[in-house]
Amino acid sequence: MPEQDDNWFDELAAGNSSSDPLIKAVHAAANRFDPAIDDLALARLKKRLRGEGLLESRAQRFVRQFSPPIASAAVVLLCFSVLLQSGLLSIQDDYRSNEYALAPEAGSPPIDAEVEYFDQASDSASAETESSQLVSPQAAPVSPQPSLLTSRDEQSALKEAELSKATTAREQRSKRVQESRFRAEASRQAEAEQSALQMADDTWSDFAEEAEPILIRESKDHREDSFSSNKQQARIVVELGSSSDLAVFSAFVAKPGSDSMGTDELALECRSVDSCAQLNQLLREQAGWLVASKIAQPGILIVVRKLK
Amino acid sequence: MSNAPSATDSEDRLIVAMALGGRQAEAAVGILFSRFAGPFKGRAMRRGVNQADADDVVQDAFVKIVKSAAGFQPKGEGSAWLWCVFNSVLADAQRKSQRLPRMEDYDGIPENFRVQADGSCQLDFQDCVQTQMTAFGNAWPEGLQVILWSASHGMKTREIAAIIQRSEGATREFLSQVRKKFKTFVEQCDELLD
Repeated sequence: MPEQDDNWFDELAAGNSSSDPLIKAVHAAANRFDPAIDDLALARLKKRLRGEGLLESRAQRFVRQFSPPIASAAVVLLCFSVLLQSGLLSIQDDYRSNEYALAPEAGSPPIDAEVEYFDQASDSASAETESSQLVSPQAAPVSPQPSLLTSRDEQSALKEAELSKATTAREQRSKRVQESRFRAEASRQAEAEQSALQMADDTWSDFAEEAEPILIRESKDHREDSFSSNKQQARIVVELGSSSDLAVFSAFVAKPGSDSMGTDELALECRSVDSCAQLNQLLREQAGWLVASKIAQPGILIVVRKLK
Repeated sequence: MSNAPSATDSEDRLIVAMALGGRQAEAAVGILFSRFAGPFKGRAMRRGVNQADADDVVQDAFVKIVKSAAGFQPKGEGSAWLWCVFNSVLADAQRKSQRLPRMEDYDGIPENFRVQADGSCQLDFQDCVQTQMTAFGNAWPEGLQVILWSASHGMKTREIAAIIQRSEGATREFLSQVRKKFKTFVEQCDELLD
């Protein structure tokens, strides 16, 4: 029975404490089944384990794994600190150079130590004098000469002012370019819209020529009747919602002398921006309805006709 | 400061020490090697592996044990864990080498199982049991192995189930078959009991 056999093995596992002679004998015999292992085998194993680094301590393992990146990081930091101390990484002050010359402003005369300046406030006759003379800085025009400036800070301030002016000019030019692009784009969109509307008008014109004249008039009573009799019309109204901003008029083809009501045409007037947008969207999505007038706008009556 | 591994430490303690590395690991390897290298080699040889190959299998098994020690969870089943690692190494070695016999599974008694009476003269009950155990191992190596796991390593059914990768119920059934057949081998030794 499995339980008895299970107990036998448990007893066997318990050791020599069992009173069963067979269990004792098996215990004694079991130890003789395994061959002896010599010391060389253990030495060989340890050598192999050391060779594969499997007997390293955690500290040794850590150093071995992370020493290359740590060493690299240390070298990088060392080089960086050396560069900093040597000043090679410091920001160069371009304004300290004595050879620096102010860039000429557009349209202004070139600045040169030898160029003469004329007092613009002086008599024009003296301005036409051909001889070149150096004049006093006080009488000189507004544009300064680098050789007359002794302070490095003033030179840098002037340079910054020039750069600021150049930046502002660039920004203004960029803005003008962008504005012109926007205007061109808006113009193109307007043209596209106009051509679309023209196409709609042309379509309506073709339709109008083929159909009989259409008389559009307001008729609330007829609207209700037409809703009850025409499911297509009623569906459109339901999809648009029962907003009071949308007025639905019945449109019908009127023959001379007749007062028959058409079921294929529907006149709609949206009275708010939201309802008109909703109507426009619906008409774009509706298949089989021809929009016979322009895009719906508040207060403008539009007529739609169902295509057969 | 952690204590160095000693010869009386449990398998769990020694495996954990191996994962620490350094001198503790080296000491633990030595202790475990002295306990298990012989049984490992014996098992390999009972599986038909020659002695030289069995030494290599034992070496490979211990290398794998050291490598896997970091993932060991001490739950009092260190002995079973070591045997599992060895079994896998032995199975790999037998699969790779065409010269080595394939491992049998633990699903049942071999078809050619029969009692092989040894004609040698047994002096006493102990010798008889020893002789019959050898004969039993020749007929059914896996049957003898589970007896050795219980007798030499004190393994219970749960641990044996983990080694042979069977459920406890299936393992109990297997042990029951081993017990029945082993009994047929050793019952002839009853005559030598005082």
